[in-house]
Amino acid sequence: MPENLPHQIDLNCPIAADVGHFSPNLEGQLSVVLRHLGFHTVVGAGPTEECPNKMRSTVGAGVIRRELIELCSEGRVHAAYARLMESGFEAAHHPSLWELLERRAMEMGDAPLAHELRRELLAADVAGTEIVLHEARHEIEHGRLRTARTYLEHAFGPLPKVTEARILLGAALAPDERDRAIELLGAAENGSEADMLWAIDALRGMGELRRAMTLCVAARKRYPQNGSFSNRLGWLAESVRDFGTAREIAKSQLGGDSDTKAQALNRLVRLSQRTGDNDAALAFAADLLRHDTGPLQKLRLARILRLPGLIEAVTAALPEQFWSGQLDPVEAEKIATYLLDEGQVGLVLFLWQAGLPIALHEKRLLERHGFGREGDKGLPTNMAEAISIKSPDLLFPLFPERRGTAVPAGWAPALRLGDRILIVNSVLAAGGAERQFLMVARALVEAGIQPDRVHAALFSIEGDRGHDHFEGALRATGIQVHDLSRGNLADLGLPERERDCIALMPARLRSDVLALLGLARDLRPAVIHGWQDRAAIASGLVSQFLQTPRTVLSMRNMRPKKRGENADWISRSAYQAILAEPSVRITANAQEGARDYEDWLQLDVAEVSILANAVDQTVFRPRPTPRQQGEAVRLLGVFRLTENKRPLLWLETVAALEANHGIKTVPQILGTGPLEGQIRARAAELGLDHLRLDPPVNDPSEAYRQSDALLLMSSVEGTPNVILEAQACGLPVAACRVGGVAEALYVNGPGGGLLLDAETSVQEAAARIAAWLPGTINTPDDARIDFIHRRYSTRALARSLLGLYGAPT
Amino acid sequence: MTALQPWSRHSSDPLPQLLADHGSFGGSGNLVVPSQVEALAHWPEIEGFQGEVAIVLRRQGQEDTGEWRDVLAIFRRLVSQSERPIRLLALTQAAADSLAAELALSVTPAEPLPRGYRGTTARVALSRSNGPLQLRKGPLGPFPARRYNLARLRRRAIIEADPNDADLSDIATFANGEKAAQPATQNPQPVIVIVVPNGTGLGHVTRMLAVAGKLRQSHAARVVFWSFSHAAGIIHRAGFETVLRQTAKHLGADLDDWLLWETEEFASALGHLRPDLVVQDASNLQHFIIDALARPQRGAARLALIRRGMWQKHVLGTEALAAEQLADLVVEPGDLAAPADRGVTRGRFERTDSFADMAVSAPVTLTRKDQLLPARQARRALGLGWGRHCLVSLGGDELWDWSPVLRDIVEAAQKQRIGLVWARSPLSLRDPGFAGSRTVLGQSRYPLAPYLAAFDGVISAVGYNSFHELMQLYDKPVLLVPRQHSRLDDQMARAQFAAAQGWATHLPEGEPAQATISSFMADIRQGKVISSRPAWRDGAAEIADALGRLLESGA
Repeated sequence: MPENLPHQIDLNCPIAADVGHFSPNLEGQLSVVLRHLGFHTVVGAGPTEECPNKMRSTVGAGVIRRELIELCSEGRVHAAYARLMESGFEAAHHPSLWELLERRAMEMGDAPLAHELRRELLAADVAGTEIVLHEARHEIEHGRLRTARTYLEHAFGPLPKVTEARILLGAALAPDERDRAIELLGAAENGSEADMLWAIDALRGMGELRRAMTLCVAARKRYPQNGSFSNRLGWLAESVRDFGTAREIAKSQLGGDSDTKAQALNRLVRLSQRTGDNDAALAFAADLLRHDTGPLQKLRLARILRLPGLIEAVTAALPEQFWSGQLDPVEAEKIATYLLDEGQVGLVLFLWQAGLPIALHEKRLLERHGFGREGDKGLPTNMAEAISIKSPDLLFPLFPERRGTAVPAGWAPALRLGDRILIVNSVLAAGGAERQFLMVARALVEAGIQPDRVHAALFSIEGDRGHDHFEGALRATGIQVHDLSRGNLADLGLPERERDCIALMPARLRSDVLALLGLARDLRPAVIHGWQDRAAIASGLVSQFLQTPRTVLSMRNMRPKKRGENADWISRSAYQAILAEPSVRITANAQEGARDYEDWLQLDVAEVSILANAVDQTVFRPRPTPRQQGEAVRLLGVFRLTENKRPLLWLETVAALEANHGIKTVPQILGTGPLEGQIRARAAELGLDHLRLDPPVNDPSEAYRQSDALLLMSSVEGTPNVILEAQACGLPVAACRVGGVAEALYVNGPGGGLLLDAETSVQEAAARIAAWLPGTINTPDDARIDFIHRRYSTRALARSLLGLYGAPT
Repeated sequence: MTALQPWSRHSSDPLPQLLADHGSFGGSGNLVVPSQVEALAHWPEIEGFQGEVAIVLRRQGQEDTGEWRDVLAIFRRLVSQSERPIRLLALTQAAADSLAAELALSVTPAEPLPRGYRGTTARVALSRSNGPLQLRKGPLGPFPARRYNLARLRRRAIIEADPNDADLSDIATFANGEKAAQPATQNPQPVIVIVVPNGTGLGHVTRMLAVAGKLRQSHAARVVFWSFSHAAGIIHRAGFETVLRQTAKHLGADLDDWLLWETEEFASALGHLRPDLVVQDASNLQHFIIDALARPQRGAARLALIRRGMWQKHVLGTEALAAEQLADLVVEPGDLAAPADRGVTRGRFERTDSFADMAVSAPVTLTRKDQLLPARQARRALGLGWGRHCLVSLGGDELWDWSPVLRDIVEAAQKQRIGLVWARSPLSLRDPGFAGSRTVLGQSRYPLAPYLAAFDGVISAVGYNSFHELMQLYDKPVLLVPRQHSRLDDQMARAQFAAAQGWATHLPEGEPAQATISSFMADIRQGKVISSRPAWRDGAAEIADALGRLLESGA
């Protein structure tokens, strides 16, 4: 509020009278404006001792009521508001007049005025249940959950009987009282359409995806015409990896209107991709492009399929479409927002230059970054220039003024007793990298770091998405675990420059950085250690914002693009900007990965140091007894059933071992994935009827102990945990020489493993395995186990970590 | 066929520039789509198009293999399930074979372009391995290729491409064309668009009228002036087609908005006129010319910049000099005072490290020596009586207050009984006084040079045209009155140089003028003749010939 103004303005007192009478409409609007500015307005309550010029109302409530109705019927809801205030009929004594006006304001879509009227009623403690519900909904929609909760509990008690109140209270409680919220939201099953939608969204927001799905299924049955439930069910099913249901829902929407059909096709493309069925993805893509859909859906498709050329082609045509009337301004604005969220800043600037509408706040943001007609960076005049302007690349260096500060390379203060360590990863799903993240926490605690000094932050640990596989184990270490998806990002109170910088990041990076920044600002750790690309980039950027003394970025086994994942948002320039800071160290878990990242990021050789994986020796214990000679060889494969693991090569090699080399085997694969059907069919063709194809298990150690050898035929690998774990259990391993396999395999010595060529044929692989296997499986396990204990122990990991964190030796 | 222009207008793909240059694609009513990606982006329009459709399929360029294959796979589905006939083309035979194998569909090579460049030595290399398309000319570059049009480049040089970029190699092969290919029907009359800015005075217009006359005369060219100068009427009266344009300043418009508008208008004019050559006489090439010429179907025209020297020494025009990298030819109209040139353009015509060919011509005058009238005839034509007459020609009125000098001139002339004849610039909006004289020569006497023999002396500003007309076409006393303004050339240096050569006297800056003017008037009274001035040379013809050679270097 302005400091030099009174905090209370009486619109009827002489100060106001001096500047003339306000028209009722103007007065009403002025009142609303003043209240938004934080003034308390006193209008029309009649003459008082403080303001004797005031006129007391001389008409009855019935007359006012008629006047209000008449004014509202003319669309003059603000004039009605002014009339009501002028009348002196306060909310405390005449709530029905205020409720009447609130209803009319709602009907006319004037949410701010309705909100104002409800606040008067609530302040006077005369609000009816409808008013409370409306206001609670309004507050929840605006992120003010605690206010909503206060209203609801005050009016309905802690366990409302009214279903809508229960749902809203459940939604308001979601972040703070999870169990109570779930209980309350359960009432939605018998609620209205709106209740069910509210409850589904609240459950979805809480990560209770399966509960939300169950409710969605019920809602679809009760309200089959409401497409919102199908949309949500499809999204939820995909989130919990129930791809069958998600696909079925999407297909059911193909008969909808043009936009629904396009959305459904895009979802089918994405689902097909996620399930590894590229042919189907391309077929659905063709259907979508054949369909006369708008540019936004085409851009989404191009994004899903990672076709930047198509993004450019679609965007380049937008100016003509807009100026010829084929593209309406609202859609054009949505496209600009979408492109900004995707980091395609140059394309947005190109559209701006071509005269397409851009949302004002986005224009201002870009202007503050120097773009625009008046800005020093101007606007690109052609597509070639536009496509080269991308976020986050254009944001770096984040703090150019810090450049050139005389800090010796590699300098950072030593870790002190009491300093906090923040380790960050994306999720805790059942994967090798996530297992290693757990091992980091264990290694730190085993090395004597107090658990309460170690904090682990995850972007999601939603159980229904499978993001919590290692949550229990991680918490069992005693460290603090933070689910960043639960953080309140509404207001971090950032300085404008940082806020603008984050606002201009691609949406995914933006939400990661915001979430992590909130936590890191509270914790002020001495070390932030980002694990895998997503968390590493967010950690590096947050470290720059907070000037964290030490930052460690632990890479995966190869650059994002090589992994073939949807990882094009991971920016090389971001890495390079982060690594330009002397306090940042970068690691990989094998030489192969380190060299690959050095090449990608144009770093000096050996700038990426090695932080080797650790095997949990309490879990992966040696086999108790050696195998009996003469028995069939129990060959184990532990991998996901996807192309790059080459499961068909694995099967064919086993079949050739049996057919061509007379080696009896008991083949077993632990894994699941999109190629499962093909594998079963091929196994039948090869006569491998005795193949056991089992789903993956949380702890495969028993499977290792009950096998004679591990066979891995992947075409792409980093440092495969399965090789380390199998050897820790004493198993000999044969694997193709890819990624960090050679480094992880014990080869030189008795019972050493077998390295096959990366591009081996079935016959060659079978011949080499046949020559190697009989001798190896009967050799004692000791050398293999010792190899793992020396190189891949928790103690070795802890030693490396403490070195990186600057702990005194 | 014709490419769907709106699709490719803003594309960073260079191929549409070439397709627009293709005889088979130059008509109307049919549709050629420049790539499979464009086809994906606009499939419903392709399906709904009434007329023949051809799609040019492309080999892999800088995109990932995965992206290229996925696009082709989607495209194959679209084509296979379409009922409309579609011709699938590729840029070369090798590309056609490769794409046909990839798609299992029939793909034929597009008819080749006729050869564009007639020489054998000039080479331009294209690459996009480091991002947006770049070009190199021998050791020069890289230059951002988006500012050039391949249809223009292919007439200037043999195009080479990064061998690791199959698509770009195909484009280069296609751009170079084949000797045996049917040449496009060529207009025997070359079309030349001359852009003249709204400069101070008539320098640009006068110079370009001289050159335009030569182009029309010796190259049978159709010359169209795109004029921001208010002297457009003069151009029109000289018999040239003239498009009068307004600058942002004239219109009071935002510069960026104006630039967009002017680009559209110029692009539209290019589409309509389809010029072989665009020439601008200016210190720098304007953005709208570059942007319009880079568009598909707009840019086969070569681009030349006529840039005079003698920039003032404090004008550090490095940005303006960058235009050299955008033009095919930069010609400096020669200046007799070149040895005194202290500006940044000094000696640039000798440089060989520019994208453009650099040249210098003899000084350009609109009036040729054979157009000069004998003294008697000239006096009669101007209605001058007996006695001595001095022409006073001080140029436009917007930059200088001449009144102190005028007073001295009038007093000195009266003393020597010399009649003053005042030349008013055709651009002059007001009468600067003329000291009560009734002898004023206005626009109807433009150009005034043929009548110079009518005068016994001339007092003149030292702009390019006046200076060279007086120094080459006149043999009586000349008093040079330099004007120093940042927008003008270095008139002081020119005047000092001429004085040092004994060609003229001049009013030194900041010194009393009275004595010099009196002495000058005395020379007139004595009927003095100056015989040391240089002989006239036809710079306009030299520039026209240089432009002609540029046109002839490519088809």
